[in-house]
Amino acid sequence: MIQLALAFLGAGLGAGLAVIGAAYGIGRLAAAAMEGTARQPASAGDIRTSMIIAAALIEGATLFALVVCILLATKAA
Amino acid sequence: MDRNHDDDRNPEEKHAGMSGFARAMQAAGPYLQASYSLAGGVALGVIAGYYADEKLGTTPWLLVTGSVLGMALGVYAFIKAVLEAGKRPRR
Amino acid sequence: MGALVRSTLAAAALAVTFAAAPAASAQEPAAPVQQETVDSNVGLPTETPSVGEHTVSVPDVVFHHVTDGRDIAFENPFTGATFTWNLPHWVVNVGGHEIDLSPTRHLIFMWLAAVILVVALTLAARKRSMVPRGFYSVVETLVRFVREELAVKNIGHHDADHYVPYLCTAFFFIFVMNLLGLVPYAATATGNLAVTAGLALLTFIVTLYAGMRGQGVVGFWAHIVPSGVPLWLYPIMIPVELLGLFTKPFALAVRLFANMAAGHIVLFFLLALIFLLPAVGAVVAPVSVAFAAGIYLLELFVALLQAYIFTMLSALFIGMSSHSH
Repeated sequence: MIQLALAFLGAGLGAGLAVIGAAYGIGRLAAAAMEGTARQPASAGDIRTSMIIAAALIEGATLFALVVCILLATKAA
Repeated sequence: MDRNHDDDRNPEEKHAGMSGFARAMQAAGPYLQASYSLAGGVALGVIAGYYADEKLGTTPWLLVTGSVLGMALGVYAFIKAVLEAGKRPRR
Repeated sequence: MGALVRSTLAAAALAVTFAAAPAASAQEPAAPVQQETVDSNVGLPTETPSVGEHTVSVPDVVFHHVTDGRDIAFENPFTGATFTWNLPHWVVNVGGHEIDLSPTRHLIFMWLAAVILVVALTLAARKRSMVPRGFYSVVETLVRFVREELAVKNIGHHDADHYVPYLCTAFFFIFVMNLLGLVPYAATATGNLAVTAGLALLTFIVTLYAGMRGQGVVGFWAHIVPSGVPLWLYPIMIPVELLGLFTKPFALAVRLFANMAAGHIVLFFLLALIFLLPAVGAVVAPVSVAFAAGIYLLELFVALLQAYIFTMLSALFIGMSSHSH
């Protein structure tokens, strides 16, 4: 019973921490993109494309952690 | 979107038409591959140690030694790859 | 010769992806989550009141809808009448081993996506003319987008046309599969790790082909291990480098799978909140449905974005691999 509880706790904490990392990274990315667009509005399109690509890559890394947490939670029994 | 104006420099170049992002990724390619080699070395060490443990039935010590050897191998591969990437002629 | 290679590559892309999905049916459908009932009054109840003759637990229902299964169930939301299509059971005996090749939910929807694509694009391309009109112009916009923004910008003018058929196949196929998953009572085929692993495997094969084409067959394999490594280390270095080669397609597969599966799980759990908090259902229901509608619109955007990301990264890897020296 205690292992079950610890497994679920671990899964929840892991998912939360992973989201903190992703949100921080993407937040900084968005800030840099805004600043770049503010300095040179002509390159807004290119900056937007690169921002979306980088955000997807960061999110991909986060979803690795999420998959591990889901595995932990569903196989905990 | 604006066309890539780097083409005006060298239209016959094989990389003509590539965006700046793609060129940057291509220049960074060998270094990325070096870090994947590091991860691959550690992974190989851990997997080999784990399966050797299962077969020989020893305690987790084989897994530990396997992972340490894997880390050493990964770092060696990483350093070799970075040195070679630095020696390649840069445009 | 080049056209033949290109068209067989595109056809093989579809064929191998079909073959990858039966691997999913060889596994058991995910075991339902066993949850102990909470005996105190505090805490979320996991048992809903009896539905018909049997009680179900909420996580069971959610995971039954998200993971693969052996049946496709439709339900009339007004009358409650259900219609279940139990998929047939096909077992193949190969050399004494039984391989389970029966179609599953995700496989049926993958085939449906392929049929939709082939029919729609063939019909659209038949009305080709200098001034496109109608559906053909939409298709042409998307194909031009894949060619100009993805293929040329990542591979270069010289080689881009060689790989555009594969990139277009990947883009349209993933996009249609993701969109089909948003239709009620349909399943997302890309929410299955086997399907995304098959697609990533195809990208890996095309990357190897691009590398061998760009650097020569011998040159590509000879440069895998960095130079300056003593000869006695080669037997260990080669598996290390090969494992490193597999990292990128693995990341591609997991990224697409996790994005699609997680989006649908979030959607279902938002709606399941209504059943998890039965006491305050009247308050929870409007909020939950509103949030679920918002997430549904986000999933529409994510469907297109994930197809774009997969194709862009495939093009990037192809470009990196073919220009290495």
